[in-house]
Amino acid sequence: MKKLFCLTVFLLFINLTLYGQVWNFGDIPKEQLTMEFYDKDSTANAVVLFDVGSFFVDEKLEIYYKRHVRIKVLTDEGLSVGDVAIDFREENPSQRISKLKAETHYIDSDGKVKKTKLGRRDRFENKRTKNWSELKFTAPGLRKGAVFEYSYEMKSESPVDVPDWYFQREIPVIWSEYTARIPEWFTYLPYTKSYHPFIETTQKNYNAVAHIRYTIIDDSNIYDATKKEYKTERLDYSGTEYKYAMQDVPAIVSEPYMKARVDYLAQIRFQLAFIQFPRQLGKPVLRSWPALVELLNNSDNYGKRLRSSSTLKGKAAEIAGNKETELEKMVAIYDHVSQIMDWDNYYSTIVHEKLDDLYNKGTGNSTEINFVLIQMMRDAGIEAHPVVMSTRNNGEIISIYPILDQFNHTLALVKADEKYYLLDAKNDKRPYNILPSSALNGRGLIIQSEKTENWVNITNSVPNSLVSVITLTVGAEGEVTGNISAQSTGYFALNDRGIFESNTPEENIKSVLFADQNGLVIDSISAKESDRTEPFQYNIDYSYSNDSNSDVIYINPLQVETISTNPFKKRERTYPVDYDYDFTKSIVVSMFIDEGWELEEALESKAFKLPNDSGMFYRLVQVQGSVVSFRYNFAITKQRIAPEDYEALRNFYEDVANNNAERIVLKKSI
Amino acid sequence: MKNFILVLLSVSLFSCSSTKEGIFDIEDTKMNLSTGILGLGSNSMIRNHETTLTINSNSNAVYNVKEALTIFSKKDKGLAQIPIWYDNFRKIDYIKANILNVNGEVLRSFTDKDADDYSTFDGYTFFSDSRVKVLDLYHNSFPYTIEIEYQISYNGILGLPSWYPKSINQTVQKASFTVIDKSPNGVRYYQSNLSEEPTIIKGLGEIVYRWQTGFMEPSKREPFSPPLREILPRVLVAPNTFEIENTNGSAENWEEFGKWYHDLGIGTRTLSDAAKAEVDNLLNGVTDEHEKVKLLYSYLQDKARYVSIQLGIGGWKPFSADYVFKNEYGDCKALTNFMQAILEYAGIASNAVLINSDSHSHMLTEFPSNQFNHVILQVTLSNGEKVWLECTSKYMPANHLSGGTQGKNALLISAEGGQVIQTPENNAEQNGRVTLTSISLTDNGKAAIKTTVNNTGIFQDNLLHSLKPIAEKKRMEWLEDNLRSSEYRMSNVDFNGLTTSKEGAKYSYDLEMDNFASRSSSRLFVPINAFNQWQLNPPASEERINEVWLSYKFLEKDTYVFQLPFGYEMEALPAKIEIENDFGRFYASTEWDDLGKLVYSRELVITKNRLEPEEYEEFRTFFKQVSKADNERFVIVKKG
Repeated sequence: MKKLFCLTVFLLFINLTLYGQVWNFGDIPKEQLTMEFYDKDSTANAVVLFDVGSFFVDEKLEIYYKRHVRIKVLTDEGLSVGDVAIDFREENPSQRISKLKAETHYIDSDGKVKKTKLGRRDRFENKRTKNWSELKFTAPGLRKGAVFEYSYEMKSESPVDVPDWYFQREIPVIWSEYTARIPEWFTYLPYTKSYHPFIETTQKNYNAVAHIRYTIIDDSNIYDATKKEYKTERLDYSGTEYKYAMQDVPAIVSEPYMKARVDYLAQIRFQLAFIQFPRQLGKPVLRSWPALVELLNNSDNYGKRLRSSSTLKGKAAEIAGNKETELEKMVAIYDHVSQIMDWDNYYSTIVHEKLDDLYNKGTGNSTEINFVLIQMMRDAGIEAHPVVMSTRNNGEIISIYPILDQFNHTLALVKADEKYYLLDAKNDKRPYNILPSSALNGRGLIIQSEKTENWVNITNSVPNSLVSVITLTVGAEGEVTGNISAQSTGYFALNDRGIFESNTPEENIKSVLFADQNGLVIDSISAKESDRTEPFQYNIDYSYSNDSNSDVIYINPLQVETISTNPFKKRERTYPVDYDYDFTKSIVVSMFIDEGWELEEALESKAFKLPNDSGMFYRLVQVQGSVVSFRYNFAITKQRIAPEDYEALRNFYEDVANNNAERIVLKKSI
Repeated sequence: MKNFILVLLSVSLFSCSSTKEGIFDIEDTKMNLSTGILGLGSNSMIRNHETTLTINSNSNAVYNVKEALTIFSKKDKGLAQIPIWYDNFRKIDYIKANILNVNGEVLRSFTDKDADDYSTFDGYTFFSDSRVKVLDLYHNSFPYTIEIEYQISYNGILGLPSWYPKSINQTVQKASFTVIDKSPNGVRYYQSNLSEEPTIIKGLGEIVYRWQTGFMEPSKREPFSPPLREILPRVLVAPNTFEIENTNGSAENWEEFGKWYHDLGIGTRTLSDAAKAEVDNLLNGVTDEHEKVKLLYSYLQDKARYVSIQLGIGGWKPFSADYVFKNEYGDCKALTNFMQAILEYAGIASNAVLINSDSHSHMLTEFPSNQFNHVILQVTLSNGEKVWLECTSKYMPANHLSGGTQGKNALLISAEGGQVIQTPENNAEQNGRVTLTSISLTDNGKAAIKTTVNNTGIFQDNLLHSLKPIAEKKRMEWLEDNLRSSEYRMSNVDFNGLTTSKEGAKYSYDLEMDNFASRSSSRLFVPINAFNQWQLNPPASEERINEVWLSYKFLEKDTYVFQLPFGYEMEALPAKIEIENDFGRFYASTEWDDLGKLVYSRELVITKNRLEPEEYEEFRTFFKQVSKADNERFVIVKKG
């Protein structure tokens, strides 16, 4: 029986200059040279005049990628755009950079255009790590007012290796486009994301001719090369050209409360899903989520690492053996692993070594630590599974792409006494019932032995709250003594415990917890012994004096409320405000005033709210003789606040900051 | 085939048993009572540290390090990550390492194959050949001991590695440094913070120097301390003659070392006709030398930018003047060399001056050797007057020196060789920041503000470097960053005074700000110094060991003129404060005319930037008082 195998397809592209007509290298219009500022953004130190990229896939299943960038330098700070580093992978799949060109043009003092080319010897290859290198160069002849451009080509040996395209950068971009030419044999799934509109998204068909070389192999003689027959055939085929373009894309800037930058950047990605050559069976490339679960489960550097070893089994028995319930066992193993395993500060989904080697080292990346945890749970007879996920700094999961690259971390899903728990043992100070805020980024995929897709929402069940009960006494000389009795939970408890356990707790309490530290003396502190999973309770006695010669004194009743400025300075915001977590702060104050003083001004009661119940502030004031009481509450109850509500949020903080700056006035009694 | 497997097996068995052998004698690595007592209170202890440096010739040296370290607690686990640096001139011959238990038994072994390899350069460098291998020697239970041995071969010598027996917060049981000098012209050494003198044994064709120490207590790092090299024990070694990438030099004395550097630059200052034409054009009709220097300096500042590329001897040999002319960038050597070339062409003499620009880094004048990381230019006018030029700066005025190059010993380079000189240093008045602000308040806490800021000296340089490179709108954002409220309108912003003028760099702006003062129903609480509050609060210290070093001397002078709203009277004013001591002065006072005008004057002067350890408490209290005063408010109340 004879079969046809497609060996090579020679593509003949005719009239296929992808963008040559519009953007000629070195052909700089006068107005680009004379331009002095960018009218759409006068803060710009430089502006990208255009950034044009394209790729196509060829017969050898390789990617050809081209990029041509032209940038106008507007200030000296903008000169840094001249320092360019192009990253490329050494292998798996390898990427090769070629045809690098760079040039700078400017008008000199005589009004003549001066052009400087990048010299052959002024480019450097730097092997950064084992598998990543960079090609570096710095623009010659670069100065304020210059136009700098460079272009290069990149070839990757894999059709899945399509470079992602970002239309947006730290400097504004006037024009950015990405073109993909994809023959009919390939199916790519494009993914776009943007807070800025596309000016062009087109798809058009094109026709081309390829010469396909077939090998005809006799099945009975499959190893005998001399029996192979070849046949070349002319093949008309069609393809699709996709083009995505944006115009006047604003610079992305850092603002308070943002997640990973990649979650906001205008971008497009292409993921290869399917290959179907003529006269061959189609080959799915992009897996389904269940298939990814299966792959990870069977991967040497992931699922297959979960194997019991005598070291871990012995340890698990030692730690959990005498515990009664599954929950107790789970907590004991969690505490042990978080104590013994130190995080090396790398997020990764690769388990590089055997789990018992990692255990012996006592150090591992984010997934390695939780794999030790999972294995020891299983060794102790407790059901546990990896949950692969993406942290807040790594970006949101793109649900149409069942690919591993999106993930950077693994949590442990543990079933104890019929309840499920998500655990992350990276930090020995954090109890099992609190996940790090970096992990609160949507959902995670459970990796189990069945080929099924199950997601779990990653949330904390413990609220983040702080309640401070303060008793303030104003003495005859205007001296103030205070007692704070506070209880914190969640991340607040984590922070407060950290302060109390530090080397200089008094100093840190003063500088972190108190709004005003001038003349403040911490007389005593104490914390109630409690399990880290429990709320943290502490007590602080303190005192300070006011100017005793003065007839008037001013007191900040809230003492420990530190919001005194508005973090939102910008008048507008394009992106949502993303809090790491939601929280509630309450302060209850009872203030006792010596009879030598009279209350001249108390504070007004106030209350205001954010739209959609996203947050609230109130301050209730009550005066009864010489006792003034306050109930204060500040809460952010939604993690994400939409750009439409930004103005309200900004005003909210402005009001909170102003109210917190108000003081009670006491006057000497006559 | 069977035989082959057998061979493999035996090899692996052999290598297995051989690596199980410790690097040090077991007595140096196992834990006993004395290690427990000596290490008491520290998180780790260097058990033994043996460094051997063999100088074979002018260009070849071998550096061998053996170190055993016991880690008592998790806190010092980070020390088990060992970085070993190398580059084109330094090659790592081998690395071997072991993790040992308390009995000194080998648990796991490592070689250079287990190390990760990275390129590594500092934030200022665009490209260099510097790389690092990093070996992780982690273990999960404490205490444990790591031992490591590695060897680095030098192929080309300019400087030799220094010896530091310990790092900060480290206890040392014993350590030694052996220098085997087989070089043709010998080496010299310099030691500090180390009482032990070396034993010197002269042999046939070699001299062996050996330092040996017993137990050493940990050194402490404190805020505002001198840099580590001033605090830690160390030995520096320098060759009398050296060879690197086919150049031969001598460091027997400063003249010779300077001559070597001078000769590297020979032939690199030839200007092309195009370059000459530009200079001619620029100086056409100019006769005054001062003016010529100024014009040429600003020509350089406009033309070229600073880019640091350190490759091989390129770390020392400047790119030619022609390269800089063509490509319009260069590192400090290249830019200085280019400046020197155009001055030379204009008939003005100048000399490169080698210097170490790291903060507090002082050249050891008695120890000729490579101690430099920067070069600046000293111009000599025909009347003998000197003009300093910092050629890496696009903004500094001529004859300004950066903070890192002031008041330092440095090496002046000329055809005759090197000569040690001292660079000038600004006094407090020359590094000044003077502000004048008028604030007109309304009864809802709103303020109309007008501010002028004038910076001189180092403050002027810093201001020019922060604001000159960025767009005008970005400069405004820079101003806005420090405002408490987000409800404000800024106008009449004037950055035209951001100049190199002797009188200083100025800017001014008007600001209308809601919520400037906080209010109650009948009172306004007004910050007395809203725009220049002292931020740095030195922490308390039980017993200060080190001197207190500040980067520079300076003067701050702030004046606020408040116009209060009609119908209010003063209720509380901050008390006058005046502190004067050995290192500075702080003065703040108010003047209230009872008619609605309040003038607040503040002056902070630091006149001495090196204080004795005993002065730390006074230094701390001083700044505590400054920051307390800066946070004061005055209170006005509606007239009854």
